[in-house]
Amino acid sequence: MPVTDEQVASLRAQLSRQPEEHLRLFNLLDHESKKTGYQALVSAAFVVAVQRRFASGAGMEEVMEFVGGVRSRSSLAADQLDPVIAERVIMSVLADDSLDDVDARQSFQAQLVLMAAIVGDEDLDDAGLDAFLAQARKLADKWLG
Amino acid sequence: MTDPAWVPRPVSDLEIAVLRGWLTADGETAKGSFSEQVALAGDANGVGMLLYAAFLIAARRRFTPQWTRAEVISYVAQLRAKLQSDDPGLLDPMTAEDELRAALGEPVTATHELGFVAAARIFILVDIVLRLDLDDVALTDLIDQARDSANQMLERISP
Repeated sequence: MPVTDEQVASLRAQLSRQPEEHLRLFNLLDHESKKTGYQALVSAAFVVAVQRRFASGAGMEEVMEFVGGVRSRSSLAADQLDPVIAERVIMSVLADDSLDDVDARQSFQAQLVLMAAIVGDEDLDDAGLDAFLAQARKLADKWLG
Repeated sequence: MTDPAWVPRPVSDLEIAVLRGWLTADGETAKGSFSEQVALAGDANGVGMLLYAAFLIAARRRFTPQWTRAEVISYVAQLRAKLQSDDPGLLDPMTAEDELRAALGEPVTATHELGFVAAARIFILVDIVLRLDLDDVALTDLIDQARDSANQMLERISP
């Protein structure tokens, strides 16, 4: 089943810094929808964000410094984001490294925090955010297809 | 692991030479002095305490009087990035951050593998000292301070 408008709206609210609206929309999604379409959308958005943030050929050094920068923004980010896992999920996009031994929940958490940080740094306007989400949705639909 | 029969003793000159070798990027001297110490005394247990004392002094010199967790996180990330080409994976980030925060007086309850702890202390100590670009007098002063501090800690654990 492809990504739904409701799933996109929930992620959009989160990325436009409306946590209450995000939670409200997220809680309207049924369990199956959260586990499949929404997770695929977040992961796809993470891939798109990483590809936008890092030039092809970016190495582990740049990734380490980026993750350190994200974690240094707040105690919450520092606690939420395991640096080694964060680096590995980014390198999985940049260098196709395997994540087979990484806990799926931790991987998803890292992707969500990092993706939100990258999108936040881009300071997108409404049109930019819509274009970003459209790109992510297209990729997620391809995975789900 | 320390021999259970080991009785703490003051740091030896050879153990000082090990530390000086590390801090001047003279690995041969450090290695040779370590081997000589073990051959002569049967152990080089003072090195661990000396390293710890020097690490505390260096960390406090680098980060005090004002420091934030964000600075510690950024510092560790930059150091890991610098080490990536030669020593990838040797500096565990959470261990390094916790060791620094504990050295700066923050209560840290997490425990880490001893190997990671020792590596974090060595890499951070050497990095801070190299960045301080100390002349010989200042380096000797730091090492003397570390020796005094290590001897006091060793005295406290003596039976």
